[in-house]
Order: sequence, then C-alpha cells, then structure tokens
Amino acid sequence: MFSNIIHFFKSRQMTSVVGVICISIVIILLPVSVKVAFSGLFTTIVYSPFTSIDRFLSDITSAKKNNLELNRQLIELSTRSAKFTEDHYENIRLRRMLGFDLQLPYSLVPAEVVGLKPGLVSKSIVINAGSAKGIEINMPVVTADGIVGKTISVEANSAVVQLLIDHNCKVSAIDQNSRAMGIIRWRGGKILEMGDVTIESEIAVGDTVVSSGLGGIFPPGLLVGFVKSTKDVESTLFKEVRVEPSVDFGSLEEVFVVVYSE
Amino acid sequence: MFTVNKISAIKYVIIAIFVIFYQIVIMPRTTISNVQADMALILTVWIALNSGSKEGLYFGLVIGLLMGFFNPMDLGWQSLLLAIIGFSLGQISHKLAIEPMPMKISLLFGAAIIFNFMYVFFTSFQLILLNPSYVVTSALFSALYSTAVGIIIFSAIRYRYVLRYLFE
Repeated sequence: MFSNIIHFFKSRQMTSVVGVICISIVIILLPVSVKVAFSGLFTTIVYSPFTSIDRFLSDITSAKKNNLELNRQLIELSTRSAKFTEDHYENIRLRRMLGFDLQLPYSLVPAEVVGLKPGLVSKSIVINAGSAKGIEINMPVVTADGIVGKTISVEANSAVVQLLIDHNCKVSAIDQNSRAMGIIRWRGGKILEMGDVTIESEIAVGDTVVSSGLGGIFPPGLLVGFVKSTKDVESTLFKEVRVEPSVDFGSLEEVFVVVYSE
Repeated sequence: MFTVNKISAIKYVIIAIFVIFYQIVIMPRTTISNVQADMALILTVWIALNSGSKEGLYFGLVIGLLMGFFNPMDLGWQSLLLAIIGFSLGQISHKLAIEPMPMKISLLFGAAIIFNFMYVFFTSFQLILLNPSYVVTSALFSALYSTAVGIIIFSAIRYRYVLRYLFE
C-alpha cells in the first residue's frame, strides 16, 4: 500500500497533476487587468460566433413580444406626448425665469455585454466599452430598467462591471414615497436588502426605491427596485426591508455607463 | 508526457465547442430559479469515467479555463477544480472499474456538490457567512439539475448507436 503511494508520487501522472495545479494557481494569481484582457479577447473574438447565434435567437423570440408591447406603448405615449410637450415648454419657461441650468448632470455611454456568467455566485459582467470611451472605475452602469452595477476594472476597450447582486456592491438609496433612506445590498437569492432604515419610517410594500446620490458613485434618481416586504426588528430599532430589483440580471445584453460627476 | 491521437483530439475539440455553445446559447434559456446545469462539469466527469484520469485532468483544465473567461475575476478556480475532479474520478474509475449507469450518475452528483461548494468557498467565502442557507440550497439544486441533465447526456452517449440505428 505504502509503496503504491510512493510509486504514484514518483510517476509521470503525478508530474501532470502538479503541472496542471501549478498552471491553475498561476492563472488565479494573475493581476485582474491581465485576466480581464484575456477574457475580453476570448469573449470578443472566440465566443463571438456563439454570441451572434444567441442574439439571433433572442431577437426572433422577443420580436413578436416587443412588437406588441411597443405598439401599446406607442398608442399610450402618443396620447401623452401632447401634454408633455406643453409641460416641457412651460418647464423651460419657468426654469429660465428662475435661472436654472437645463443640462443633465450626466451622460450615457452605450455598451454591449460580451461576458456574462449568471451562476451560483455570479457577480460581474464584461462590457465592450472602456477607457477609450471615457469610462473610468466606479462609474454607474444602468439599463432602461434601472441600476445594473458599477465598473470595477477598466481596460482600453472593455470593462468589468460589478453587479448589484454582488454582496460587495452597495447603493445609497431612498424610498420615493416615504423618503426613508438606507443602504441597498445583496444577501443572496433574487432579493436585495435595504439596510439602516429606521423603525419609524413609513416605508410600504410596492414603494419605488431609487438611488439617493449620497454614496458619490450613483447619481440620484436611478431606479433600484420595488419594496417587496418590510418587517420591524424591535431589538435593532431598524426595519428589515426587502427590495425586488427592477433589473433582470440574467438577461443583460445592452447597458449604459453613466459618466457622472457630483 | 501526454499523448493523444488525432481522432481523440478532434473529439475533445468538438466537445469543447459544444460546451461553449451550451454555455452561451442553451444555458440562459434553460435556467430554473437562477440555477443552471454545469455542462463543463458533466462532460469532464463523463470523460474522466470513460477515458481515464489523464484525459479528465487535461479536459477539466482546458474547459474550466474556457468557462472561466466568462467571469474573469475568478479565472483559474474553475479549471483547477475541474482538473482535480477529472483526475480523481479517472482514478476511481480505473481502480473500481465503474460501468453501471447508476454508479456514474451518483459520482456525477457527488462531483457536482463538491465542485459547487468548493467554488463558492474559494471565490465567495463571505457569501457562506452572510447567507449559508442560500449557498446550500443553490449548490444542492444546481447539483441536482446538473445530474438530471447528466442522465440525459450519459444515456444519449451510451445509446447513440441504438439511436442511430433507429433513425436510419
């Protein structure tokens, strides 16, 4: 038995195992920037034919659904458009009277998701826009549905985005209805937790939660999600507020990086 | 150190392409409650059990690396774990001459559980402390799903000649 073990350790097989383990450890210890560069290379060149097939299938399946939805929205929006136009001109007039600046405090840089792993511990995506388009670390990333996450690593033509469903990603948020403030963070599953909400706040199920702008990374007013449940925790004097994110993190395709400065 | 004939090399390349295709095209459409079947693990187990520990080791390394590019922050962990699982199962298969399908499926389930827990342990240890029930549930559900898909894949490979005969 003992001689078998010694023989095994001396064998060529053992050399292969040690070699493979060493290769893996070297890869694990590579700097994040090198990992991102390799990942970007693979996802944009090697995986692109598969991504094209995926896009094609997604486009076909969603085209009919989107068409119906867009028609409904078109009818709804066209009826509201006239009123908004009127309000818009009134707004401009009033702002001019008060001397307000009409510029938005941020601009949006579009990007496509080229690397995604929505698995057990999914945390990040890779997008095909980087410092060449003015993107920097700690810039918010959004879709039309709300906050996706923030950039944590930026290369010339790609960036890694830490998703909101990463337990390291935190957003300072506010409940639009009650104006209660708290910190949004992920605690597993599909639900976010809004921490540090005082027990006196009148936060209710169904309320809309948006970024408060206090953290310095996310500008105010970006949609985070909707309150799913609240529970008073008497011992801590805080409420346990669970928030359903407005973004479907499993089907991210196009995102926008918010180029924003306070 | 490692010899492989041309037919085997082509076979492994085709399997790797299939895994990438599954990962990008099929997996997002077959997700149940945010849990997917891990095709890289299923095929590493199959290769290890049928071809041996050397093949399992190298296939696990390469396919783990290819899958790792989807999540660059954890690049390397998947290849390390899959390579070790591939090698270990190859050794077990060689020593015990595992042939019956239920044995292979049981080993796949065990490998899936070990892989899921080890992966979370090495890449997101904080998550285990913060929400252990989520980690346990997800890991078990993911292992069950992988095993269910593994039964289909293993059966399809085993009875491919019968299927070919039926469709001819």
